[in-house]
Amino acid sequence: MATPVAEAADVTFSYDSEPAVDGVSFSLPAGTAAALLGPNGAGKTTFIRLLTGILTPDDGSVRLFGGDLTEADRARLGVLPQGFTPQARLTPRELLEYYGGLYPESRSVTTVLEELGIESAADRQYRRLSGGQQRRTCLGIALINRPRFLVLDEPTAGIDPGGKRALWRYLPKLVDAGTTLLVTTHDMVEAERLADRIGFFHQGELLAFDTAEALVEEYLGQRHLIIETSAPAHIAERLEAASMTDEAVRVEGVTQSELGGLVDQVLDVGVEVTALRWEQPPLEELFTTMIEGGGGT
Amino acid sequence: MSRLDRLRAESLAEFRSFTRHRTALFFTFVFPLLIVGAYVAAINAGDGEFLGEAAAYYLPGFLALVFVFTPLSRIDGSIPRDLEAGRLEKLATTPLRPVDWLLARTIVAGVLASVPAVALLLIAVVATPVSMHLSPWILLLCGSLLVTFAGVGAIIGRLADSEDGAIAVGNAIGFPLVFFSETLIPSDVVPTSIQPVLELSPVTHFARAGRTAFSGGTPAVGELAVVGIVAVVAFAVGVRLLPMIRR
Repeated sequence: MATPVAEAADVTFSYDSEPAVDGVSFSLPAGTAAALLGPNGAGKTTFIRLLTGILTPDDGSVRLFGGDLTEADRARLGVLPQGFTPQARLTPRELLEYYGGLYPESRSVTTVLEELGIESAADRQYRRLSGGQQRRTCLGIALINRPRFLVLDEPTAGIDPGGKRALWRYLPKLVDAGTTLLVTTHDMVEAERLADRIGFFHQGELLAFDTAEALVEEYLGQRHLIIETSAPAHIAERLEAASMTDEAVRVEGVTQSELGGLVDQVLDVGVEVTALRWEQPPLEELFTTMIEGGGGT
Repeated sequence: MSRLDRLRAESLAEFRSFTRHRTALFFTFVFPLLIVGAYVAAINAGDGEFLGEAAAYYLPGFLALVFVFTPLSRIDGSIPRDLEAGRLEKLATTPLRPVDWLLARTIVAGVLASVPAVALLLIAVVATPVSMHLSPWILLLCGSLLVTFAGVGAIIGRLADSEDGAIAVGNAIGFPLVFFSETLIPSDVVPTSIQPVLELSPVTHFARAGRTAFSGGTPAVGELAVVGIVAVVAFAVGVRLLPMIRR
């Protein structure tokens, strides 16, 4: 297991005696990507502020890069705060030069502009950029110091689907190159696209933190195989844990390793199969199930 | 990159941002020129005097106009604005320290204030029968006033709950101090009941020391000490209160 880049142990924080983060423990190994999900006010942003040293916990402890948070090297940290807006009258080039100038070492401004596809708008004032260009400029600011730990608080809020997809293609490349990524989002699809592990915040508590597959399995049940056929009875009687409808057979609890053997069994029956679908319960239902107390199946 | 590089980056960004803002430019450069223009006209109409004082009396007041209002107006409103935009939060995660941030803002305010300050003194020399002695004391006093009101601006910016609120408080503090601290309104004209209060104003001590320096003398140690100590304390408190939580 890689050394954790960020760790929180039983961290608690309140705003004016109103608990915002309540006893959260969390560990993020180096070179991995995690997403924190939850409704507005759930505690995601406060937790990120605690993890990056912007806030100090009332109780519990936070470690960054394996050491005490107060001693952590901020030059290795890249943060895009929620709703961050840089100086509107500076251009993307000037903004990247400015933020790059705050670090001991920074990346080439031209390279960052090219990577993010904003070189054509590099000398236009930020206030005159499109929403997508503005968001990419902000991401460039978070990346300019070549961070080892990149924290993005709702990075795709307010940008169009094309911009979102571009970001979804770009961020995994950073993780592949060794950057540890932590994002917050309201978008379950985004979380699954970007993150190895997903955490759910609700009323200041981290309800769960695991891979999407493990969370689905625990809270929504296992993946199942749907076999569409004109002769469901013939197939259903040959398979364990199978249920039958008029034109399909459903087999519960099918793991990836079992899938090949099961398909072979179905084909061996020798009846016509019009479709095979290996499905998992929709991830979107996960959060609702969790906060309603619908435990694992 | 050294701390000097960080200061340079922060100062340059602030300077570029400010100089592209026409309203702010107008307030910084034209407003003091208008006030001084009015004084020059009044002094000339009064045969070299205004409110019973010679033109030289007002020189520290002219400087106070720019070295109080420039740092105050650049810093007080920018703190709630930068907070709202997440810029201070972002900076808190960089190697930039709160003291660097305020120092960079102070440097920019100093550069910006120097231009109208020189212009005001030139206008006074050209358009009124004033003679002045320029000495390093003037620079030291102006620097102290700049640092004081950078700190005061940071304190106001932290305590105010909005940009508008910060600007309003800044003006409510700045205007009486600049006009009544033995600067643009002579103390004889100010009601006697208010005069003891003006002793508490650092601008009063700046004006007294400035008048001595402009006449070629050495300012009293007491005046210099008050101006210097207030500057250090205001700046330190301003840094301490800056809402970049991590230090």
